[in-house]
Amino acid sequence: MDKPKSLRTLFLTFLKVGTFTLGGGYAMLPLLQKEFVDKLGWLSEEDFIDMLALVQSVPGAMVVNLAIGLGHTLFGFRGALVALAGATMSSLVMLTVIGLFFYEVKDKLSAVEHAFRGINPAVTGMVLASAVGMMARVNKSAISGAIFIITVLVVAYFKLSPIYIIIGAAAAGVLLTRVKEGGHA
Amino acid sequence: MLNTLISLYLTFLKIGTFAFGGGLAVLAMIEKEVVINQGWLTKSQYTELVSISEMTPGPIAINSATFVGAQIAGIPGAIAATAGVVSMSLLLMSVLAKLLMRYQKIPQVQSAFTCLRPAVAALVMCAGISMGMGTITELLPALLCAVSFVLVSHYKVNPILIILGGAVAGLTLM
Repeated sequence: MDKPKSLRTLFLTFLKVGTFTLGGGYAMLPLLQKEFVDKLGWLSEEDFIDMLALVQSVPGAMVVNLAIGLGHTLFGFRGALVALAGATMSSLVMLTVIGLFFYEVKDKLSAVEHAFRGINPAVTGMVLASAVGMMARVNKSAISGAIFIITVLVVAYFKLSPIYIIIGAAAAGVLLTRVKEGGHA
Repeated sequence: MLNTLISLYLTFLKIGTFAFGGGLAVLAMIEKEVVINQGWLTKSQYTELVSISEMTPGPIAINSATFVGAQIAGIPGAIAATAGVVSMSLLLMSVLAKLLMRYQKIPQVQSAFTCLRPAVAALVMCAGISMGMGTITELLPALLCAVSFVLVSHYKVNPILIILGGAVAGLTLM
């Protein structure tokens, strides 16, 4: 059922994600996951999560980084450019217009603000569902569970930047395998 | 004019390079660089910028860069600022994606990713929790959050529909 890979579909998919998701990077994850993993079948769940790990270790906007990373993995550098263009096109057009005519549209924004009282909790539920879905599909071991819990606690209490979590978890992965292999030898 | 465009590009290049932690980190850097250092926007314009970037679809970093660029130097300014904020991402992510492709079969890399995956799921969970702390203050938002969770995780409802449903609920009930 996988759709054939084409730059056109890549562009349109990111355009769709950039146009229809509100509330920043994490709000876009559920839709990106649905499109690339479930609908198009271009990536496995693991590929998607692995790319997300890279994205978290790089500065800048998450969706921009994800677009470049996924585009590059699928089609090389031109894929990165096409995905980036798709992900940013709507923002560019819409915010340029708002930026230029800001004082004319300013009053109309209060209706939008009202809509967001409903959008924000709905997006929260979606992001939580996405996290639970990811956890359900990673390999189930005591170590995975421990890493999950430790990360949640550390980020919640110490507000640690994701990059340290990424470096720490990668180091733990390498060290644990070394310990295991040492045990076998 | 050209000088303005170049300094817009360079300022947003700096913002994109040092903003660790996604769109909200970009907003914090914009406050420092655009409001305090360059004086391109006033404090109250910045407050408006934050709500506009969060209220419009798309990545917050792109929205805010485009908006600032457009206000300072029109359409060329919007393009210069946006190009600046994505340049470092383009460089770093292209290199990382290439490295991932080349080395992902190596056992050490695979074992690193085995531990990275639960950490990434946890980071997404934390993002959801902190979003919830800001928005779920009453029964109705809590209910909306729960319904959206179930619809996405059990019924695989399209996220676009969830967002539209949330907007309708916000306009009619809240």
